[in-house]
Amino acid sequence: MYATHFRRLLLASLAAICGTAGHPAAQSQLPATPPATETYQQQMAREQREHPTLTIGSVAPDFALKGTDGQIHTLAEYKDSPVLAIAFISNHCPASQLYEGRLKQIARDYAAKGVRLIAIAPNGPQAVAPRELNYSAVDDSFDSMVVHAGYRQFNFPYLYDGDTQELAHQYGPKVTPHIFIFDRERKLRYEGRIDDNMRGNNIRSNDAHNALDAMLAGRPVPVEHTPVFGCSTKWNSAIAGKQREMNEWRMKPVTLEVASIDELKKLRTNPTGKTLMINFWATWCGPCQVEYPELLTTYLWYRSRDFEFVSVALNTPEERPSVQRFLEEHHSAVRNLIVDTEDVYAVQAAFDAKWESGVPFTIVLAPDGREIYRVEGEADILALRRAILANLPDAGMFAGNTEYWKQ
Amino acid sequence: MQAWLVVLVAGTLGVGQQVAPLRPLLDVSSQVSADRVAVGERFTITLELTPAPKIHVYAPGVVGYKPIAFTVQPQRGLVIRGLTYPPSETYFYAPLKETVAVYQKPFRIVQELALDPSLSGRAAPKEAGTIVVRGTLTYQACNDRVCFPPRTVPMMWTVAIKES
Repeated sequence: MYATHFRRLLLASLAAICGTAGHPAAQSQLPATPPATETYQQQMAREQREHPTLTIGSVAPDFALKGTDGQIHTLAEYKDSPVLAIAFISNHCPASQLYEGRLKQIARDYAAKGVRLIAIAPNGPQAVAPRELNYSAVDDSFDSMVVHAGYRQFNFPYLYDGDTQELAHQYGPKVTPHIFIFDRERKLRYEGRIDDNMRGNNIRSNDAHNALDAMLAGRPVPVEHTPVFGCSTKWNSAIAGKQREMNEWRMKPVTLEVASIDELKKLRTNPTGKTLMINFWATWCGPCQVEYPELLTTYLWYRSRDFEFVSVALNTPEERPSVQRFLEEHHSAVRNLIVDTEDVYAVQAAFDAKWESGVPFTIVLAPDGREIYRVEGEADILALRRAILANLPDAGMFAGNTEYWKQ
Repeated sequence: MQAWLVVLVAGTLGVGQQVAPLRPLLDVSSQVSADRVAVGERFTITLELTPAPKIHVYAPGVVGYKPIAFTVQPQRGLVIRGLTYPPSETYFYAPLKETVAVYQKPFRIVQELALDPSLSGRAAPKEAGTIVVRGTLTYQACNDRVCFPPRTVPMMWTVAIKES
């Protein structure tokens, strides 16, 4: 009994904090939904009132949604399939990410039996706070879905409902992932989790498989509803969390320190104990100005994990005012440095002998100083983020996510 | 008669600790209009400049970037007259939606000089009937994905003084 109770608590916690996972301090400051004092139980009760989950036996609400293949997909399109599985997933959610492989497996394994699996992204991209993207290389926009589906080679349609969330309001997914399985008459026969183990290595209850097998065999679904766990659905009506985080970020001061060549040499060894991204830039460098906002965004996403960002301006000391101005325009509230010498080439030679002197120059160092990414010129922001994610340590709750990013 | 003189390039700033070789960005050569110049006579130094492929350097007057600049070191006996830069090209940097004046093709900078005919100019110390002209070229180069820190090229010419 205690084990069951503990399990419920764990699942509840997961659903409550997913997206800011693995950083309890951050979670207490930044709950997924307002008000800040709302408990998980209160949140779920409110969610159920505002966005009730489709009940067993309901007929599948119709839809016409744009897919990452550029086509509009409708419910009628799948009318010939004896079973239709609709999984609500998201790009950003680490729980959802960990289930992508299993969803592909379902699509593959059950295709010959006539089962069609489609995925729908219910989240409003504007409702996802930066810190909730701390396990993701992309946000939840449609363009990012195209990128993500291509990168992960989804073998099922991936449809977008984030702008209006009309369909999501009708289905009421509590989290991503949340799966709904319909029979030939398109009546809901199963709704809930895919299985009971996010990591997938110790599954005791393969709930979605059980439902599919039962439906295909003409048997009653053994368990029609299971509790879900993952990242709460990001409703467009609830953007307070994001606003709160951005306000907090804008309150941080933008400072600029002078750094000597010796200090930069020390920085190259990565004394931070965290994964460290260092970007060399200058006000006289157009490509630097283009990429800088993306680097800052990357920091905003990952700062709740063991991640640091240091910017180093290669401007001369007398150009400090223009450097400060640029940093303030972009609200670069990270550790900003400016070199204390006009001899930029000496700085570069001292920092990294392989650096051919061009900027922007970005290097990412593991806590042990090992280089995990470097580029002279504008960074490929997706490659940069994937390299970082593949090297950030797993939080216990999302163990397996680092491995996911190594694949 | 025009004479090509060897340009003495002492190097760029801060090469002392350089490990990776500096990437060639701008080929520089020069020409002096006469190999012998009389006091009071005008002559020119012409810099022939060729940006490396896909490289541009910033033209005089640009704001926010480091425009190319040629300066002759003032000295007694030498009158520094007009400096002429050619018309620049327009470079559109799409990511910033920015139009900037640059040089991307071979171009020429012409510095007009004269030997000072004044009494003090004539009295300036000379070395074995010659005058040594020193100048500095500074520029900053980029392509569409990378910018390189400003470079400084010290230059020197020895011009013979014609007996008057």
